[in-house]
Amino acid sequence: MTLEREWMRGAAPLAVLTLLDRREMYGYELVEALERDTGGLLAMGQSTVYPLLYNLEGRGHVAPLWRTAPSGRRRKYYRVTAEGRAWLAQQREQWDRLVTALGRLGLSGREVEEATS
Amino acid sequence: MTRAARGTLPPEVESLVAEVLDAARLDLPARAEVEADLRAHFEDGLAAGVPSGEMRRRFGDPRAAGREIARARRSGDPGRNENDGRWWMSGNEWWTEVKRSVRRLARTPGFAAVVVATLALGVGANTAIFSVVNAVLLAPLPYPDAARLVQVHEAAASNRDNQNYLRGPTVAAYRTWSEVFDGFGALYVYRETGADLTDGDQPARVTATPVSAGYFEALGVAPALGRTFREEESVAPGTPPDGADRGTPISPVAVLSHGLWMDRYGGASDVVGRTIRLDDRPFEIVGVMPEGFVDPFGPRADLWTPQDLRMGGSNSWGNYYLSALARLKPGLTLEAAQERVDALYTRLVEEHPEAGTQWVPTLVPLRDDLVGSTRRTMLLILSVAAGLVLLTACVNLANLLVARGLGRDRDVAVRVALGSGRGRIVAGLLVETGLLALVGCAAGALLGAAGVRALLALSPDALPALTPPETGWAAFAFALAVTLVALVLSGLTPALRLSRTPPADALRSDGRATTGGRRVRRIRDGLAIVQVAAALVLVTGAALLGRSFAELARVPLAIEPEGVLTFEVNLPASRYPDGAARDAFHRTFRERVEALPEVEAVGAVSWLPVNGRFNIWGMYWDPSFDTPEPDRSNRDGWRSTDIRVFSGDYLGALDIRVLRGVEPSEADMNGEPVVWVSARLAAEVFGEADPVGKQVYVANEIRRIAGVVEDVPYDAEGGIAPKTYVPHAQFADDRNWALTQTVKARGDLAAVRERIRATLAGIDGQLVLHRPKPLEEVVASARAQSRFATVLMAAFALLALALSMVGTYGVLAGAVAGRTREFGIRMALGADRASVRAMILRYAAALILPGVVLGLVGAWIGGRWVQALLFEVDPRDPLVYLAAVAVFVAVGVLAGWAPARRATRVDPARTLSSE
Repeated sequence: MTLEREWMRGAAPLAVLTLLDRREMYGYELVEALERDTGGLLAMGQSTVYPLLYNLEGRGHVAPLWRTAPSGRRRKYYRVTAEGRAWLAQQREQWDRLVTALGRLGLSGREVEEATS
Repeated sequence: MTRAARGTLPPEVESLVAEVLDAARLDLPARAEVEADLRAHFEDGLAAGVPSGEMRRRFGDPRAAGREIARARRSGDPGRNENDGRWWMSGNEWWTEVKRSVRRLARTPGFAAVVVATLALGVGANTAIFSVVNAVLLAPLPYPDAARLVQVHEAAASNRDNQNYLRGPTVAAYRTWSEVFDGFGALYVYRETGADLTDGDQPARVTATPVSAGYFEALGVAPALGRTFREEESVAPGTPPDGADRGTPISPVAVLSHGLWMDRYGGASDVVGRTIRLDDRPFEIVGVMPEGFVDPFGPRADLWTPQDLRMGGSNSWGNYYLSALARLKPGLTLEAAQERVDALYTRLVEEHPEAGTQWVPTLVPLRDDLVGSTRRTMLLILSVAAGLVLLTACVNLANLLVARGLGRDRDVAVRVALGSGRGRIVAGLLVETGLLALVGCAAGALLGAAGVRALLALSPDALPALTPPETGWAAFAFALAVTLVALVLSGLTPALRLSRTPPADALRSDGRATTGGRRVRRIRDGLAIVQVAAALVLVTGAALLGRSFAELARVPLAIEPEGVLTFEVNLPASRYPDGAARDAFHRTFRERVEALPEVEAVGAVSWLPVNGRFNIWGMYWDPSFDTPEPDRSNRDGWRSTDIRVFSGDYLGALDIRVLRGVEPSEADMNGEPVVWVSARLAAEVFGEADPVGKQVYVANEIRRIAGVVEDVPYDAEGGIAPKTYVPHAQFADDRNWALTQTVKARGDLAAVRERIRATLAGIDGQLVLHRPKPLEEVVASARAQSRFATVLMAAFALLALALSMVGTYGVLAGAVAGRTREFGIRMALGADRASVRAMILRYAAALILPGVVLGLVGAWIGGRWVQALLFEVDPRDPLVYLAAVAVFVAVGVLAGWAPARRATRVDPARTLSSE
């Protein structure tokens, strides 16, 4: 199942920053992590990840850095900046409030079985 | 795991990457970066063992990806952004651009000031001139269907340009020619007739014009109150009493002008029917003309009285004194009307042979008559001159903007690299240009309005206008349009050019001043040459007019106007009823004024010199006339002469010499009638023989010639007409001559004038010293038109010269700035400073000389038109051309000097080390 576009717009930057907050990742690594760790739900087309990264970079929430990969090649990693962390904290709080509010309406988060795809 | 080398992705992945990049349409640096990211992504994936087909599938739509990437790259905000390659801008973006432009201009106030000033001068000059031209030449006369109005002259049959006044009997006939004329009005405008208006407390001097019945109707204007003159108030049966003033109305009624009605009577609605006193005679007000009505022959008329058109008295076949206008029947062309008039006149002569065939009725469109052909030519030439000034101003503007555009090469290149669309860049540059244009044109409008006022102040005599020139919006719009076109073109060129250049090239130039390439340089050179040519034409024109004016000023006038005060004293008929009373006044007045300490001579004359021809009468003499019983039967004995009635020491006051015979002071005025003749008349009539003592018939009597007086011109160009001087004491009964007093005095004329005023009051407290003017002013106004044209042309020429000098300097300075490397290298290789300087000066010559040649050609062609304004000067005078060329050689040297010096100051060592 894929998320509706509107949900995705809100969730995607949040997801990416959460992942990068744990540790720096390079592009392909991030794509794989998104797919794997969200059970495929936030596996936005890989083509969407790079625009999102450029966006976040433009906003100053992530910053690129170059490392040498084991293969000897130079690799571009992304890390979260201080601004990014601040924004992430804000978004998390909003997310918590949203969930709580919806919960009061009777919308509790139920565990959803991962659909086999 | 194989290491995927750059450029060795599987073909389907390569093509995917290519598709993404194509869709993104990024500039080079961004493209390189994104490409690297994508390659790394796919390499990582392939290295992880994902098949290329799967990689492709997982990636998604490459085109969508490309667009998203593009949007995201250019700003962190995926929504709004300013550099997304769009052509158009939203309202908000326009406002942002305006603010940016203002900030940019504020950083370079010098540039902005020069642009605004240049624009203001060009627009202002053209607006002012065009306003005048519009009011004088183009705007329709302020009467309904004014194109049908003509002035009627009696002109010489042999030469219709030789125009005369009309006679009473012919006017009477013309008024009946209803197949040609829809309306006909005659007036006595021989001179502005002044009258003393006394009613109520304050006497005032007013201008009264006698007009016939039908005058206002011919113009097509109805009175605002009451009525105009009835037929019987102009043409009643019976003949006018002999000896009556030609201006005496046959019916004591008057029509007021709107101005007089408001000023003096406060716009009272019951003014019709009131009685006023003009020159002590009662008149009944019968009507008031509407606001805005202007009498074409007497724009300053305060009121009108009826003109007597009864046969007899002044209205005889030999007395030419009336003017007339008429309205042609609808649909009748001027040529057709003239033909019919000619036919009708032939019939008239058959019925009345005394009408004669020497002077025949001639029709001239009223506007042409009022403007005059010389004035028309002058205004057209000045319009062209103003246009040339605008041209030089526009060239300078174009150069300034191109230079500024070049200076912003890097700025624009960066914006293009960041993805700004061409439209956006163009719009940005246009906003800046537009702001400058707005301010500049506003300043130009103000300058133009001031210019119109200045033109009128400079020489009101040079510009007659029934509709006073206001700052014409048509003129302003015209100048604005032309300038905007020039601005847009010159502001646009760098924008279009730059937006096509690959940004990398512009960025690579590393901040060294760019000259913009050969094409731009050639355009700038071309513009500088055009400027020089335009300026040269103007300078030549100004020089010619200046010389012409100088020649005019040198014309010997045979009078000494310095220190001579002129004024009029009107003698109302009620208290000075006959010639004896008037002459007695003149004698008493002269004696008292002569007694004043500063006064050297006092006299009076019927018409001042250098003021046009006037009172052209007949004089008779033939060899048989020196007999005791002369008869005037020989038709060839009649000649025309300008009569001047004089009293006192008129000749002495103006320093007019008596060449032969006796001075007027020595002659016995109580004896036989005498007369003085001018040298021209003496030569024409008597040849080598001495005219003194001979008898002639002139001024209604046989008179003896008492002396010969030197010729005095009747116009500023030295025109001489045969003159006859008749003493007032012997001719005062003919009419109230309304002599103009001439007093020669030492010291301050204003003070003298007040003392004379006091003296006058001592003789008769009700008399008014009217229109005092130094004779020098009278003479100056005769040269008014020439002076007007000269001053204006000189101003334009100076302006154009300054502008072209600045323009040439700008081009040279720019060229030097762009070639500093070259000069440095040359000097390092051994060229001496002199040769570098010579290079620059040669460049200057390459700009000036072609411009000079072009300008000379233009001046040669234009000479034909300027000729009409020139006096005693050949429009192709080689000396003037040589002088103009010399001026521009000097300009070239001056403009090139500083840049040349700067070129030689380049430090070769520093230039080489920066390589």
